[in-house]
Amino acid sequence: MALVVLLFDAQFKFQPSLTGSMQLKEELSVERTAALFSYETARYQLSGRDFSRQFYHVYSSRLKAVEERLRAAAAEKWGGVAVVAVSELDEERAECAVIGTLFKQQQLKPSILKEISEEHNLMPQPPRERFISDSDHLILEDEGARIRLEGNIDPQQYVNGVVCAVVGREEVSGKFKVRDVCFPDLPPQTVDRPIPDNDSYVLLVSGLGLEASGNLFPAQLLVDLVTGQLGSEEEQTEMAAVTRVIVAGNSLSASSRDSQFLKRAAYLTSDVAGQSAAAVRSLDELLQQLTASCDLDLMPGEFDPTNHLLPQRPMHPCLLPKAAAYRTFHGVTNPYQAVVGGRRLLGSSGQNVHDLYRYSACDDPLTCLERLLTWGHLCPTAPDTLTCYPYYDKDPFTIDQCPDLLFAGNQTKFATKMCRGSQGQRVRLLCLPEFHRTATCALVNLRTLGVRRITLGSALTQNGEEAQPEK
Amino acid sequence: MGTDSRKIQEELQFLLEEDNRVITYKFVSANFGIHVNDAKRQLQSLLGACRGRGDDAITATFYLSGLSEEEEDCVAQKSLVVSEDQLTAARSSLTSVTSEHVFSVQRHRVRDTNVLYGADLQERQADPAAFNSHGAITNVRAERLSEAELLKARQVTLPAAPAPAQPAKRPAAPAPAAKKEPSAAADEQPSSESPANKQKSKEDDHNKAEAAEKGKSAGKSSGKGSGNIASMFAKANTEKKTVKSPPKKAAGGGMMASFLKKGADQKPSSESTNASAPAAAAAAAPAKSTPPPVKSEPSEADKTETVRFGAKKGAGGGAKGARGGSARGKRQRKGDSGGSEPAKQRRRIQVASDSSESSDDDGGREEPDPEPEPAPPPVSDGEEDAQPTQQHGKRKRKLVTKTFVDDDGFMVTKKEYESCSGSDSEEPAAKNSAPAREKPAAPAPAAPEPAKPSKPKEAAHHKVKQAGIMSFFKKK
Repeated sequence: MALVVLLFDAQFKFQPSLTGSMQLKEELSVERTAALFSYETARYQLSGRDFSRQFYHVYSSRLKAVEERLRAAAAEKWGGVAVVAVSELDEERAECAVIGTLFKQQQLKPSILKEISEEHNLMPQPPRERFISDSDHLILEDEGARIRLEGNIDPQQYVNGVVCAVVGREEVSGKFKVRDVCFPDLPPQTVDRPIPDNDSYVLLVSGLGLEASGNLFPAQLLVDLVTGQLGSEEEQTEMAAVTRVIVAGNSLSASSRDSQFLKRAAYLTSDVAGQSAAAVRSLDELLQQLTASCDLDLMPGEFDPTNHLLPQRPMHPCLLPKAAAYRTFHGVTNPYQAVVGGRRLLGSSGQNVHDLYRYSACDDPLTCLERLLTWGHLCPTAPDTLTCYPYYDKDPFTIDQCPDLLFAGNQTKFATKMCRGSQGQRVRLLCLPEFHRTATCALVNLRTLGVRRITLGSALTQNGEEAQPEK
Repeated sequence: MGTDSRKIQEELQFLLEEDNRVITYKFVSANFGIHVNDAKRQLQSLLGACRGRGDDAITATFYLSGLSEEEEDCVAQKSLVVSEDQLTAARSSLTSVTSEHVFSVQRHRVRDTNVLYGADLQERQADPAAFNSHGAITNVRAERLSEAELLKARQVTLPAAPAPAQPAKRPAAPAPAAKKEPSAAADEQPSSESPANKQKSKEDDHNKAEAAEKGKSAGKSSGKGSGNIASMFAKANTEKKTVKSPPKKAAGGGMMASFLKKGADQKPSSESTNASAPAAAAAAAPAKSTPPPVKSEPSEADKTETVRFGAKKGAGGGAKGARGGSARGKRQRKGDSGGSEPAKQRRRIQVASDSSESSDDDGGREEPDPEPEPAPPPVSDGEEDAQPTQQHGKRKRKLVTKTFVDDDGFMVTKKEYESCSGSDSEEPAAKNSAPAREKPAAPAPAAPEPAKPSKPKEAAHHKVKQAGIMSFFKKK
């Protein structure tokens, strides 16, 4: 009998799969790849709880933060056109450029005034999914004044809160006829961290959508895959290169929120456990298996038990006692920014992209994400339609460091694209679908920024139907 | 290893046939303590053995993983759990197969993934760490936190300062009360139990040195629930009590909690006195100043209202003697000469009813005080007013015009002196309740109380309108 001695070491990469005929065999044991990482979530941590401020300061600090870059971009794009303030505009001027924040006047935008119109026996506003109409128009505001925009600018492609520069001239009617629009350039990618030579991966999943009682099989499959239980040795070795798992929001399903439960009297519900409590317990058991093997970053989402306004605080470790008992568990904020293995990751749980979808004619989540990158702001609609904290001296959602990967969770479908900036920056855009619906997650290669879409499923029925929804 | 393998096979066979179990590779791995890949091999040989025997009842599910067609800008991988009959079809949908192994073996056909999930559920939940410990990937960094670190992580409170919450509660809280406030506030805020207990115990240790304070904090924590009442009380009393000792204020919090229950009971009866019940609670609370009685009072409050009132009286008397310089103290001192319990009860109501316009009360009470005294009380009203004035030195007498229909059917307007305290709306209530309470001379607290809640309501009901106007003129 020939004994084949196989050499193992910590960085073992590949081994031919065995068919089980060998008696003596060292079982595969691979150490998970480590990657240097550092969180940059300090900017998303709420420092105060003063809600007495107006939101004007957010907009003004947003404008200030971007103004210089905009001036430079405008100068580059339009040559010697003078940049003036809105208040200095007049009809005699030749073409000039104005820098300001876009305000979109929308008739259908939900307004508290219209809501309380119910008291006046007016028709209540019907629930809508999108709030765009043909009568929307854009207004440009700077620190001093505002002016209505017309011309070569389509209101349906923009939302509130986008900072831009427009070039054109003021017309007799008092409106500004736009010739062209310009946005701040992507900041240069600072690649001063070593990019790893070997392949290392980050697994991104969002919308686990756990309920009190639901089908947890796909989630369990994923966990088994990542922890190296499932698969052949080849696959297990590959999975050992996953340095991090990022759960991008909505780990609990919308139905697990206990709003109805809370409305009932306590004596009716004394023997019934809250739905959210049971859901959190299942999440805890699931995540514990992950954290026992891999670094986990848990981002909160729209339906998760944390604050609603952006930036969302990490879920408290007390909610997930078993998972949080491991050093590898990290509760992180939404939005999320970190440097992992030499790549900057920036992403959110998807509320910003949903808002963009609601208030503009942008249908494709990937296009929405691209727009956000172009505009240089993660959530331009905050604080208008997306609740956010009233910051005073900063707007933490501006993209002032170019990411390598920009992702958004809880989207309708999986989509990815490589975006290139004017200075040679490469940004991978990634839209993650909801896992509970599609059983799909993404594996991103930190060395090449390549994306692999992993779909988990089953086919157990007789007639070959897929028991799991595909794609 | 061969013998082990044989043993494992026998066991698996037993489980399969006798227990009718769905045997997954993970179960095999965890149960026999072998590596997952070995477990997969074991299952494979089990399946082979069964098939070899011609046992067609045994079915198996397989895990299949591989790359499928490349899509735009990304590679697609599919990982599927398929039943045996679907295996070839699934294999053909993949361009390259990365893994294929047995997932589970069972005696019946599996139609639903829940069956596979539920098969291992018990074992997994019993000891999750052990269940997953035979995987192919290890991670030295995945270690459990130490106890100290765990505790620290769970105590992570948000960096927001509790200061914004404080002003609402006690804007003029003296230092010790302020110190109590953050501690109590901090106690209430952390949601998790252990941090709260930890902080509370820390606070308690700190407080043990100050026994009086401790009772206060206990009282206050119980009163925390009626925080809004406390804020009303705080605002109401800022002008009145400039330098009230902290125990009194804090005691108010504790008292308020107990009084709130009573206030809730009284609510229907005393609703007319504009929010006098909660205000009464707020106002009544400072009547107790010393913490120890306060501490006992909230606990007693649950027993009976009457008993509680008795306790309050006892404390109130002592407290009132101690207090000085406040309008309330003045009044009480004046009326303390009688010292009977009905007087104290009446005082309570007066205090309670006055608090709704506390600042006005202060002004109002001071002014009418000198006024009625020089005014000679008419003899005709002496009877009516004498007793109130006897028992409540604070009672002023006002000249009011009364219009009534006499026996002959004529409307008669009469100018009379009515004894009333400074506040417009509350005076008649208090005044009417005072004579009502004198009748049951025996100060059975139960007796006046039914009368008292009703009286203030009725009295205040129609008195509010008239007296209001009169006192406005009187002040000139």
